[in-house]
Amino acid sequence: MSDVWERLKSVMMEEFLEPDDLMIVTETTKLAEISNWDSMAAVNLQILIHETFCVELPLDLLRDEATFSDLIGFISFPETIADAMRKVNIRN
Amino acid sequence: MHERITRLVSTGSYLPEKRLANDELLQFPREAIPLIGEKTGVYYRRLAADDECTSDLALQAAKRCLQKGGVEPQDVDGIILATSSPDRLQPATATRLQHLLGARRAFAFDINSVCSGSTFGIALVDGLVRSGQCKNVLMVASEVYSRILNPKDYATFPFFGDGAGAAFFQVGLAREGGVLCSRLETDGSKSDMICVPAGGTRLPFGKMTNPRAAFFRMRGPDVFSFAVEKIPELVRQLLQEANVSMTDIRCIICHQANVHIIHKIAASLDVPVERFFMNLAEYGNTAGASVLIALDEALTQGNIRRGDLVVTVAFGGGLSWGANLIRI
Repeated sequence: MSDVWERLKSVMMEEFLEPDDLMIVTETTKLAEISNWDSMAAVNLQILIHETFCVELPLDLLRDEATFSDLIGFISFPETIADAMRKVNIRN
Repeated sequence: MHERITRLVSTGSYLPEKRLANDELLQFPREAIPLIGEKTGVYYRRLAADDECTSDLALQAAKRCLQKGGVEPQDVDGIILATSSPDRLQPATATRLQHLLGARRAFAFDINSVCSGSTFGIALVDGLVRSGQCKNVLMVASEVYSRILNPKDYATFPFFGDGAGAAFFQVGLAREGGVLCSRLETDGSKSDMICVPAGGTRLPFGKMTNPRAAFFRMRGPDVFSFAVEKIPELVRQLLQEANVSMTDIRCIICHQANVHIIHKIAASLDVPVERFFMNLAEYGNTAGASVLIALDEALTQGNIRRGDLVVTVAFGGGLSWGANLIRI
């Protein structure tokens, strides 16, 4: 899990994070708390996760309130994605 | 003694043939494609052919502009080319344009005010003409952003397109109409908000550790907030300076960045959005060229005519923002 977190942070540093973000980003940080987070950034993160971890994460799971901990969980255990999507669909 | 004015004689534009629809952007997840149109109003963009560069697009726009004005290239005193995607780091892209156009008498240089290029260029041309330095100046804005964008960056690639616009200005008398006034603004403290980080002296390619630094990047949400705050303010100041009311303005030619930015600006100015010329659905954001391309299309399509008062306004990297009031 910590390996996934380190790799995720590292690729996100290249793509998204501003130096100031590095000070605040922890596993409990919500995506909406990243500088310039928006729906465009969500698509870029989706692509990045696919390229880095070969995991296809639906955009619905990259919502503002999702935390890095949630992402680490989906990347480490991709079989949980379908269940999470079912919950999202029920909520919607 | 009659007061000199910088008269707009003719305009031209050139959009490359290759037209790419949103659903042809196969590098992005399918579920993200509808968002492009929804978030920005962009549905198509034009892409320069492999053998076309910025000066080639500029040449086509310049030729069309001079032809419409009945002007021979050898009559041009100066060429100013606005671009933030030049052929090369040096020399100025305008020099190749001058050569290809056959404008042997003309001096030629580039300006880089990123997406504000057309409005800054018009102000500069106006200064040259009013001061008596030049009588005939060709202003061209040309961009090939498809070469400086990361094709995999969803936050930038789908929203831009390639294209060029041109306007030919000539010294005239005040009663003939022309550029009435301009306002230019810059806030260099936000120069990182829109930039290509590498390739210059701050970060040469040889010292680049992240390959993405070679591509254009933009903090979209911040740019959105900046534009909707600063542009209405700028337009109000421009009109106040010229003692002109918003109801006198026939058309506002705004930088074609995002349909929602234009709607917000219109609401803030209390102007019907129909008075803003828009072509971004078809061409996307053509950066510094967008205003001159739109001006040419607005004239060609009859949205504006001789005698109309028009505001041209743009915003972009720098951060820079500028506006011109023109009696067509």
